[in-house]
Amino acid sequence: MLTLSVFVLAGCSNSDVDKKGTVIVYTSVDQFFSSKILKQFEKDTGITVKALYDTEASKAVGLEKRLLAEKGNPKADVFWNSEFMRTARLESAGVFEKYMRDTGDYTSDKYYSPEGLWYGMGGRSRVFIVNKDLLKENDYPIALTDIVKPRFKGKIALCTPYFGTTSTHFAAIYHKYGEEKFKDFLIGLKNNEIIMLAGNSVVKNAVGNGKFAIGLVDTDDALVGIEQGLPIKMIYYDQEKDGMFSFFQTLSLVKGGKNQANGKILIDYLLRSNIEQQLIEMKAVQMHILTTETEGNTPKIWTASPGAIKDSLPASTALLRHYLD
Amino acid sequence: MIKKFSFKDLLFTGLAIVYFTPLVNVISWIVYSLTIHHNFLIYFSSISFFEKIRNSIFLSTAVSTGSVVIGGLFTYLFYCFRSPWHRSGMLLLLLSFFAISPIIYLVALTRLHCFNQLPVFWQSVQVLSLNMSPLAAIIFIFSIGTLENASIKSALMISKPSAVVRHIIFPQIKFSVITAFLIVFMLIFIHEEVPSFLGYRTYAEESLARIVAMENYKEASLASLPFLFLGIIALVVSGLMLRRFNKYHRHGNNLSLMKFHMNTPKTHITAGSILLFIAVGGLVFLLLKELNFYSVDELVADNISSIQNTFILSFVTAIVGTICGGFLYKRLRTGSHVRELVLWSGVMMFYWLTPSSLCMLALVHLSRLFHCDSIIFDYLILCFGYLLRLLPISFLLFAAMSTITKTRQDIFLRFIKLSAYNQFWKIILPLHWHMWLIIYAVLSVFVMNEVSATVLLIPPGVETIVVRIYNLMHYGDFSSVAFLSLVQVTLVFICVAMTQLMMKFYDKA
Repeated sequence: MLTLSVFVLAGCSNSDVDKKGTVIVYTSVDQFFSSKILKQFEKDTGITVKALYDTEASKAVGLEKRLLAEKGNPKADVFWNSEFMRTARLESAGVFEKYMRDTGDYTSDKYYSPEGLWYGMGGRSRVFIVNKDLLKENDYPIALTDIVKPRFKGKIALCTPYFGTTSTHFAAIYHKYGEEKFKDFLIGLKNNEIIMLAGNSVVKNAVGNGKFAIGLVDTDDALVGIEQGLPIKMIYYDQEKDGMFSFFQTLSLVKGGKNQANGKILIDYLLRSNIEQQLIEMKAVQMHILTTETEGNTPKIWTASPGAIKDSLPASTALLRHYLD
Repeated sequence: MIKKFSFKDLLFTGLAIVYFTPLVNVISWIVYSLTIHHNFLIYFSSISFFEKIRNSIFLSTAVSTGSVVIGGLFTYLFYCFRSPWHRSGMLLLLLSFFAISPIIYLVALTRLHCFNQLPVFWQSVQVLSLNMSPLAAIIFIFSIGTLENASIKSALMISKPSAVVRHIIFPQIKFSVITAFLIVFMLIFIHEEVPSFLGYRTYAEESLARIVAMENYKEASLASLPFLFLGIIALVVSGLMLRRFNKYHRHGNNLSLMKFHMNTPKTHITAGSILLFIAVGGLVFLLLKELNFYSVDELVADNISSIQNTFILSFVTAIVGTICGGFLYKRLRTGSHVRELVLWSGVMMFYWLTPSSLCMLALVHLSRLFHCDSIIFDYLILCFGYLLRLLPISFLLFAAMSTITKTRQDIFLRFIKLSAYNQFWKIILPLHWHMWLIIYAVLSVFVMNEVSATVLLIPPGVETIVVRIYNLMHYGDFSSVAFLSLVQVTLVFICVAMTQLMMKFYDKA
């Protein structure tokens, strides 16, 4: 009775009094950034946003699995994902609703689903960070394959490649370069005694604190580390080859959501190029994919279709387990 | 002869079915997946699997031993103090520091150069032992509090305190020591965050990796098979130990907690107090150092809703958990054989041995079958999710503290003609409410620190302190992290301090 009465009160305090209604968004984009954008949406449209954020602690397992478990009777209206592989998995599980909209702003057709099941925004890349106190500038790695060179033995840290964007990166390497080259790369990593840590931010801190000389992280982690005053430098690798692997955020309308009209308004709002620009200014993402306008020299990057990377994931994970476990 | 089922039996059976349904659901996924995924069986016999299990066992054993030893030292110090104020203060400190998430200990300690020089295994042991030792100490303190005063006092007249501890106290609190060891062992075996943050590979991280990697979460449940296997071993071991322990009889239950004390040299007390101050005060110092005092107003405004939510959720759920745990223990103790008691507690502990995310996913899955979109229903499911994990702890704490054991009080109650209602309000409650409040405080700490259940079950738009801490830590906003950690500690501190004050007024009355 006590539980019920307290929750009745809590429920009353949460009741929707706004005439414009609500929209429920599940997002794995870091709360630090996404909450600011969502507050701005509330202010601009009058629609109340109820957001559910994922945590680094749950390795993004929370929202993906929750959306799957809720399939058929979902709570969410919109899924705003920080990367694309889990979006591709949810797409194949039939979690998303079609929403066709104008795609004229996109720089490439890789960045949206032709069926209208997801739309990309704001890209990030995988980069090296090096500890400036531990490595001389001449010794910085310039290619991804440099980290398998014996001179870096025991000096490299990366996030456990079964989680998050590192798992996406490894699946993409498998997809692009094939099984044999991927195996050679893994054997090289094993021989170089790489250390696997819990998350990209942990890798950033470990390199910043001088525990390791080199780390493989996302651009946003590197920039946060630099802003924190850590003695690290961000290195764009493979600039004379294919470029760095990059990925992007996605937005999808959830099938069966109760506030789909507001969900569509939120998707349209977030897919404006000025929102992408704001995310870039906040350092949440580093690349435009919604406009062809570019400023200065942009680093060379490559990406692949989310579906293809998703299909490569089981094989790349099996090889990772075989060689790195 | 067929036993007649009363209404209470039916109610109890119904509640047990509701309670165990998510667990049965997870087990059914495991059994189903075992039949179609033979490659898992290959993995379970691989060197890599055994390496991670070995790492987990080493870590859990080291942390359990460390926690029991440090907890034992805290307990010794507690009973060295004569003043009730000192003792209350120490209890406050222990509970408050148990409230801090281990990840905050980790972040605070990584600010120290000497900590960073240790191997990752010992870093993990240090962080987790510091975090778990207050729990062990609380269990010991209350177990000793239920011992018979007279025998200890007479023994102290003729023997050294160390001999009294060895020959009189320890044999009687052996079960509590084992309980503390087992609880800490299991909590660490399934703990994923700290070791993986430091780069120490455990099976908990591995199982999470498998859940993440597999598209179908039902099939991913297979990764929790070793946890269930460990649970069965723990169940058998604790059953055997309890059978041996059952030969001892504990007579006293007059809450001598505040009266019994050790005659110890003042130097020991001073040294112990300084160590305690360094252990816990150092952490506060590290947190305060990171706090930006000029922006406290902003921090309050930004975090007030998560503080309110945490307070309401932990307050309500811990009360329900305490009541349910107490009733469950009372019912099982009065109506069941000791083997049944062990079996029930063991089966409940499977909620701690199955990855929390899987149990909560099962609950999400089941709750969506009701097609109910009310926010009250969402809160009830969240509360139930917390209860799945709280009930075994509540039950074990009641058992370890023996608050409702077969005592002279039970026998006395049989002879007085009072209704069950009056017995509860006039006799049982006044005698035991202090301990129940402590159990309540421990449970509220567990609710505050629960991440998986919160992420998977919380209604959209609602946040708790611990989830915010994890999110903010990623971007190095350590001022907010320090602020929220201090708020969490203060919440527990205020809660227990109020309890102590109320106890004082009540005693006077």
